Amino acid sequence: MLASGKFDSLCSEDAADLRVLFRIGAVPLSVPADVVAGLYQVGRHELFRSGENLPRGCIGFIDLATPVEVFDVAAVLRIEPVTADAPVVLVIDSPVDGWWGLLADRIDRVVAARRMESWPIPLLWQLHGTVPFDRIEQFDGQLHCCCNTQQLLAMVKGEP
Amino acid sequence: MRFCGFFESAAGPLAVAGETLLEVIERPALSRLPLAPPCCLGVFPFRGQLVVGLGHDCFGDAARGAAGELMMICATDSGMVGLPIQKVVRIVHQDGNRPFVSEAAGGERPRGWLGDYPFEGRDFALIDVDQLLEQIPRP
Repeated sequence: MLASGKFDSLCSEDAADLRVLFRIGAVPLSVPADVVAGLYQVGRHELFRSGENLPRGCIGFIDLATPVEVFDVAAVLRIEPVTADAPVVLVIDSPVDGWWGLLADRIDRVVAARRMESWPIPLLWQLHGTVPFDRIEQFDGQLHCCCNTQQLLAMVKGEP
Repeated sequence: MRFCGFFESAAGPLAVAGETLLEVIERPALSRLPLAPPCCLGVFPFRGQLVVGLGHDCFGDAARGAAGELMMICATDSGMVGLPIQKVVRIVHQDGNRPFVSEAAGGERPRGWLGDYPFEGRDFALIDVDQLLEQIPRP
């Protein structure tokens, strides 16, 4: 395991005020740290499973206390898929769906949201379809889309 | 006092009303983000806000030339957007309403077209940027 989700015990910031910055391909994304139960690096061969009756968007499981479904969100975001040989799984703690895994190429860092400049999602984006992001935030010159993990999972699963 | 901007663009000569037009800048570096709307090349921070930078395909079939190295920042009902332009011809003050011809002489009309605005011996396509955005096809 790379890290547990108790980020607020590691620094003076509340976990809700921290962002986990990660990448899928070359695309920088983020999630609030308070939704992250853990970060795990896995081997691709351990994760990808074919021929099983997997839920839509699910590409495999990681074995924690219970099996946690891992989802590849690249297709719904219309970005290049994860290609890392040892990808990272962000285990998301959802009040609705329980634990689920978000597949990423790598974790960049954890930063305090107050260190990031932040904007709402441009209205023009929202007029053209569902956008599973809450904010656009800039850190170190890079813009990150902050994911609404509940909306994102619903999109991956094909739920309305 | 009202004013109007006249420009060269991929869609030919364009005119934009002054209350929409905020600034003309050199085309900045754009950050491509997931699920970008059609015609959107990316976004960039500008004067505290995030501007959606459009490609020259935003003008529709009327876009035949190069996008240009400038960007016209406009205030719209959908937020700030940047339209690509090649050149600033003139930004002039207007005294009262100028008449314009509602029928184009020929060729494709850019999205958001309101009519042709005669200026210095040429017809400039007067566009409403909000209407241009509404006319971009939904995926």
